[in-house]
Amino acid sequence: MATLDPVLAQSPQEFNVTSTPSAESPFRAQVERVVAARDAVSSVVVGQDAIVEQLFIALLAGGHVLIEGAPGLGKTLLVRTMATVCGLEFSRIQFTPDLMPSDITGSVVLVHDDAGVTHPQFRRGPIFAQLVLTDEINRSTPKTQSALLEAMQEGTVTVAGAEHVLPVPFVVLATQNPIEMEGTYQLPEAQTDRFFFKVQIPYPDNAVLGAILDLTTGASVDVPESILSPADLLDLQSIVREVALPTAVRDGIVRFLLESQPQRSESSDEVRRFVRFGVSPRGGQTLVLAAKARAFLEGRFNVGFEDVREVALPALRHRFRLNYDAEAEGLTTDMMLTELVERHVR
Amino acid sequence: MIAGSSDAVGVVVRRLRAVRWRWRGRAALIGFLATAVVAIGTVFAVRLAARFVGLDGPVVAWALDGTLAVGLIGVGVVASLVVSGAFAPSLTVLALRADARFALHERLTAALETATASTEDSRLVGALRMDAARHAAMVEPAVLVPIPWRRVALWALAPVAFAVAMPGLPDAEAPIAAGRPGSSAPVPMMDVPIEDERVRENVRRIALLLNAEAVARQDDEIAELARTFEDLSQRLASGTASIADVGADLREATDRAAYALGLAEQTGIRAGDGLGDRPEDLGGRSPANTATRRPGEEAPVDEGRGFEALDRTAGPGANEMTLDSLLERLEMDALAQAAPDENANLDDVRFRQGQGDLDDGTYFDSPALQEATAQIMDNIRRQQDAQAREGGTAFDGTGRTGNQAGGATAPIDEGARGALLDDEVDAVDELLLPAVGRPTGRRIELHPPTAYAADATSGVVDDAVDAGAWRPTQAVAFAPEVVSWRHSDVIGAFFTPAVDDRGVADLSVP
Repeated sequence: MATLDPVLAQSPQEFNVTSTPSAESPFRAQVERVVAARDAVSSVVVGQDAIVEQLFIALLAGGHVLIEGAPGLGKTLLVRTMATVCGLEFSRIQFTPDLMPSDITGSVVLVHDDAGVTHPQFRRGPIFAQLVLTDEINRSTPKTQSALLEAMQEGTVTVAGAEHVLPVPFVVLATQNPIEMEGTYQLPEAQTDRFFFKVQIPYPDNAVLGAILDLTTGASVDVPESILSPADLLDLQSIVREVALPTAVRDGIVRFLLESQPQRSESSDEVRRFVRFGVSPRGGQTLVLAAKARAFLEGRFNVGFEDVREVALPALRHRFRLNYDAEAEGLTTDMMLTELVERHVR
Repeated sequence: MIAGSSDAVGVVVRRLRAVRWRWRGRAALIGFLATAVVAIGTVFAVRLAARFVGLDGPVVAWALDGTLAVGLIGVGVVASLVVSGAFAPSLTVLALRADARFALHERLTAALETATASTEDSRLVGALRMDAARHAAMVEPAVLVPIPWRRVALWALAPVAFAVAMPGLPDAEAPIAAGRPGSSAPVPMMDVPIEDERVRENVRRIALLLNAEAVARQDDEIAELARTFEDLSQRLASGTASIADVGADLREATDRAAYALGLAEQTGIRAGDGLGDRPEDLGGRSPANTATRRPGEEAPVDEGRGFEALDRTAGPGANEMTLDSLLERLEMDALAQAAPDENANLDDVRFRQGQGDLDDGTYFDSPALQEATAQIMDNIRRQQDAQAREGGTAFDGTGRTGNQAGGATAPIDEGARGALLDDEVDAVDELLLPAVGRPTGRRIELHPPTAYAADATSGVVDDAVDAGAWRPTQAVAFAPEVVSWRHSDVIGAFFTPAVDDRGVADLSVP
């Protein structure tokens, strides 16, 4: 690092800070492109700005998203629009109770070549895409769910003893209906932990609902252009990991993670009484990565406390479980998480 | 213009250092004010305590106040500087505070960490620093470290008010006045200059009275005391010394004057204190037990009890002769010398005491007075002749021996007084007995105690009265041969300032 003396010799009023192209401009341009992509999606999916931003955060962090919401709230439109804007190969899988794993991953079939020879050939399933929408994932059996989750975790699928690499970037956006609906299978905790975010899509309010009706029932529907490319997305994902994490923010996250563990004697009475299990280290990693992605999306190159607080709920609500006492008391996961994060991450 | 990312970190550091300097200044200011307030309280407490333990006097009080105030404030300033220097927040802490206060999303904190951590391999370090430097301009030290000037001004009023009020605070009373009745109570502020002026005036008058007394007695010791009081009076009048400065000298001179004038037993030894009763209660016993021994003079009789008397007059429990009481006694003596008091048993003599007469000299030039004086002089001359014949023993008018009072003084007893006065006073209308010296260096003193030992009409003197005994002067003294106009100066000096105030008017016999 160069000496600070020339700078320190000047009075604060003499500083005229201007960014140099070599230092900041490339990243600024990339930030602006991401922001433009986000805004493009938001212009199509009306009234879901927060959800769109969370999806972009997960996209920049390279994570998969579990989207929870009632049917008809524009989940499919949201994912399809994102794929278009980001220039990603899109695939959609509708999960049903009779859906088999091979229906997702693909299967080996016998094909005849031009010479009339018959030989087995792997026919790729819908999982082989850069952006995969798995609709109503909780309607399929756990066996099928686990096939998808293996692909999500490893980035590969193995069929007939052969391993097939999934394309990059590979992002799964899974939707699920609320578990109280009939014909659903709740995802096990170990499987939900593999989702980077769990996003809850709320029912639109009056103004948003009117806008949705106006936009989607007209003579023409605007189709956004592609703003990003898969290469851009991969580059952005690597840049996001370089966003600085100040020690103070990191320490706050650590305190929060430890506090969420009910088995620790140092935990508060509330945690020990109502929490079934706390946030895992993987949850901490997710929290940091999501905070970095959000900071970058906000045009910053360091994580702030606010970034952590903003991404805490989608990153941790499916990794943090309360017990029956909490349910009896009317506590929700979001309520408890919000309280713990506000207490430690500041 | 910042060209590099390192310079950008410098911008952040410089800004944070400015914030830290302001924090130090605020800490020093608050510390100084707090110390000043504590110093005020301490000075008040110490001054109060000093009065209880006897550390009194304006010089002591000012020295105490000044030392304490300067010392405490100095310690406070040093402590504030040390605290502001040693406990000043680090740049990291200030960066966090600035980030939170100005919603910078930990930009400054992260940039500062890049200056110390090895993060040069990150592609974002440069962008991060530039971004932080751009936002560092938003950091206002005055906003981040506010100084509550209104509260500071209120706190600063305390030491300022104290500094203004210091000169008016009650100082310790002058040592010379400490022995006065009721002086244990704090002296009100307005009484201090009045009290000082009164003491100065008392010293001046005592010097005058002692001068006259020395001339009258021809006593070198009293003359020396007079010079001492004159010197003290001049020092006080010229302002070269305060009353507190000369307090010890005044006290010593007052004690010496009390002994020299034979007043000690009247203040330190009272009737019924074991040394003997009043002379009229002595009956046939020797009145020598009531005598006060001069310094350097051998004890006459009953030596043990005499020493006891001396010890008790000088002991802690004795009544000390104060400046006021000394002046009072001197004035009473002067009064008595100017006009006979009740103890003189001269009710049949019509004394005249009037300043107007003394001033214009008509009284002293009256033929009646000159005639009476001539008669008295004749009697004295005869007494001296008889005394010379008897080898220094005083004789009364009938040639009988009387008491010899001191080497240079030849007092006569009541018998002599009767012979001198009672027989002659009828010849004059009025008689004035001024306290003046005589050219012969002798002084005639009338001793009422011995009046009981001598027959005034027959002139028989009780031989039990030991020769050489020093007896108190309780009667008027007069100089029969020089009662003339020129002595009016001395008398006038005594009474001119305030005749009425001293009750002299009541004593005058027209």
